[in-house]
Amino acid sequence: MILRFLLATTVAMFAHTAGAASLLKPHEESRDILAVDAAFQVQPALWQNGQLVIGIDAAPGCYLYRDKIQLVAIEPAGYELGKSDLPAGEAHHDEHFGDVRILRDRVLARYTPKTAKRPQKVRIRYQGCAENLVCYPPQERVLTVEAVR
Amino acid sequence: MRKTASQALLIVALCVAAAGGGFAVYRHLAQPTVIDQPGGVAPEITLEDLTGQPRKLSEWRGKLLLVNFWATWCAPCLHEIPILLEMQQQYGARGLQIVGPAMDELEAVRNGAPQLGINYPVLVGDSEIVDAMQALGDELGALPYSVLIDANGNIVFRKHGEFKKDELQQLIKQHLPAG
Repeated sequence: MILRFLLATTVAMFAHTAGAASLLKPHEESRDILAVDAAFQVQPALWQNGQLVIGIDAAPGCYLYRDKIQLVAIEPAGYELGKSDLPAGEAHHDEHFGDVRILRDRVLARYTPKTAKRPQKVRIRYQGCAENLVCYPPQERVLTVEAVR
Repeated sequence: MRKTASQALLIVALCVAAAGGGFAVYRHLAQPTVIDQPGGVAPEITLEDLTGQPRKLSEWRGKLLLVNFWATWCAPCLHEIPILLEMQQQYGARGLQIVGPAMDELEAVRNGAPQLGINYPVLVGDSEIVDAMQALGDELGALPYSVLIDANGNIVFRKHGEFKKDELQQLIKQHLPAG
């Protein structure tokens, strides 16, 4: 009898502590808000077998807008990268952008230009949010393209 | 006798586990979202309003000034605006002034601010807003970003992310000018 009472008390103590904590702060608030370069880490631009690949690592809980990822070659001028090959991503309703697709985790953007010559420098633009916490303004980075042998 | 002892041990173990688990949950959920430490006098910042007029933050000196950086493309910013409207309505007469610098295109803000019913001055810009955020302590480049400046021009609170109503109300009450 005593054992049953103590067990019930113990369980109640745990539930009460957890419950009180959940009232103090909703779960999403406990996540750290990252600086934009930690939320979205742009990987080196790599050229291999006539293909340009750029990765962006989105931190857990962060996502990129698929249609905001844009890449242009800036050296040589006029270089055409062609269409991007991005993952399909997941459907998302955004209060401002409407129905969009978003990308999480490691995002690889692949380009297969018509020419076999490697571009020297590219500029990538991207934008995203940390879910239910903050959003980041459009970002732009210039990358030197590295050849992979 | 032996059974009673093992029961007691089990109870003690459960109590320790419950206390530890509860504390871990509490620590996990109760982490503050305030990233920057406040401090110092707010620098002078000039940004244009929606009519293109330059406005200085110092023109609101003497009031409790909440500078809320936002954008029309920032969903968390939009979520907290009703709370800001309510606070301005409730505490404006007692010395609160909210100002909303938007990192956005002028037209987007000209259209968006009235739709949101914003009842406080809205400023607008692009790189100027980034500079203003950094001057007011932003190191993350994320919106929303809010800075509370007391009547003497001292930064008393900074936060990335949405305010909860109770949290903001408590802060405002704590720092409203005496009067």
